[in-house]
Amino acid sequence: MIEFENLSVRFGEGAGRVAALSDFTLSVGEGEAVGLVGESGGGKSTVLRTLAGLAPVYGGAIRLDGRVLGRRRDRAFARRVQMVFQDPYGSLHPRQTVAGCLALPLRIHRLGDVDARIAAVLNDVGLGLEYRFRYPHQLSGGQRQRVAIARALMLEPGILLLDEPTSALDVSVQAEILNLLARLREERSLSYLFVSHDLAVVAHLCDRLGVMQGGRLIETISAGDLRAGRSRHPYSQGLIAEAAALA
Amino acid sequence: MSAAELLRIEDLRVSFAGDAGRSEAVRGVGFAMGREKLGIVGESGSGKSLTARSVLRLLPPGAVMSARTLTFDGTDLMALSARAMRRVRGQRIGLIPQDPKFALNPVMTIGRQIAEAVRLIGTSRAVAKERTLDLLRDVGIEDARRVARAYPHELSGGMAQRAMIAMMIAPDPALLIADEPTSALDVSVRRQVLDILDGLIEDRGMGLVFISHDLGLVGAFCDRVLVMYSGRIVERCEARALAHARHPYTQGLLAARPRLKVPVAVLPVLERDPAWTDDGEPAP
Repeated sequence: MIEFENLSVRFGEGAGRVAALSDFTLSVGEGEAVGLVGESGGGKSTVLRTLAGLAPVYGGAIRLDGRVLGRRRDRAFARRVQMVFQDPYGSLHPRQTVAGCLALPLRIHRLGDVDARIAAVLNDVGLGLEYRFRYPHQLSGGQRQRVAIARALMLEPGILLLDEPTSALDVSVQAEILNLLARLREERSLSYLFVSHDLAVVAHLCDRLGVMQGGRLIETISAGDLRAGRSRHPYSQGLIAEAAALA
Repeated sequence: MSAAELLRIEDLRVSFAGDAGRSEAVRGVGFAMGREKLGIVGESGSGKSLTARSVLRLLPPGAVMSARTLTFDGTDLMALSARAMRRVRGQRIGLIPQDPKFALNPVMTIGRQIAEAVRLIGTSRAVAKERTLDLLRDVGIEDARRVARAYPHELSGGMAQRAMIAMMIAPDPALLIADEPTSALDVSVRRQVLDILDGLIEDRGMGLVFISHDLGLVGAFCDRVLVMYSGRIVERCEARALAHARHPYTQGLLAARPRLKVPVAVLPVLERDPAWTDDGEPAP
């Protein structure tokens, strides 16, 4: 349902021009969880940002449910695709309560049953109703990320774009969020495009991974093949060795 | 652990003023170390950074520290004047921060910053310049002259962290404190920086306090490990024995990590026992 075809993204002009993404081709099927791994500057976040309409496309195309996406993202797109960011400290408005934050997408899309929907989604992400009136600074990092996930679910999208959603969290809290994401995916038949620098985290949540280096997709590999060390590319093999050494 | 004791801490406490009186963030921590690599692990808020920074008496505003013993290389650090303490910081004990981009001076070249550290021990400008280039080569930077002329923003994260290490080892300190030194770095660069750090500590016979939230990293890199929870040390062990940790908190942290070679459907979640708060070694 998502297809990236020969996508290129460039930033800057003239001699300072950087190719953030070159000739990127990948598809994500219905209900599939696909991970993107690699080191900083590899282009993995740029893929998500381009799909969300936050980075300019230079060449190639992105198709969503068979239709080519243009320059602007409309409301229908927001109801289909939502994004969760790395830093829940930065992505929630500090002067907005949890309920205010969750109600906003409903207001924009003129949906009713606000209280009932908020109660249902809070329950879904494992937060009690009493959290409705709290501000972000009254929540722990894990609770904030639960709110960010709840916000992404408000419009009942089919696709979540997850950009390092557990990298700012302690390992015990990371486990809770990864379990939550796995359960939500099963219950709601969600598709994930999941970006992380942590191979073990991506292999845990995803069926298939793309390894990125220097703005290029150098290999796609199933989680099973990755675990078994059946990678063909030396760069991926290096990442796998490093991840295994610290387990 | 080498025979000579480098650092001894007994009953270290750090507290902050809060709404309901003072609250203790470090609650009676004690350990002794020699010229070895000692890891301190724990989650955010466990008190690991405060413990390490207490050695330098560098704490956030409002923090109050006390210790029955805080001895470094035979000197009672608690008894030193602010002036004498400044001579310990940087010269006898170096601090490597998580993100060198915030710690380096953005408007001064790398070479001048390192030379400044070299001149602390009193050498001429010309000698300091040569010594700076040697130090940059010691941390594995081949084109030392180019890097010495560069400003911090012109360097990659790994290169900047190496420059930071070069600056910290310039006065030949006896102890390095590294606070999450590789958390901001990519994995391939992390390996290089750790190898450089390891080589320096070996060659110069320094001690290292290595603070990290990453149990796998500490287990692979350090000699001994202290595990902190809620301001206390709840477990101490040899780093290679970390996988067989006995405290349920350490076991819980190890189990909660997704592991590449050991897939599980649902990750075990840490169930915190209120009793852990009183574990560890309270002051006698």
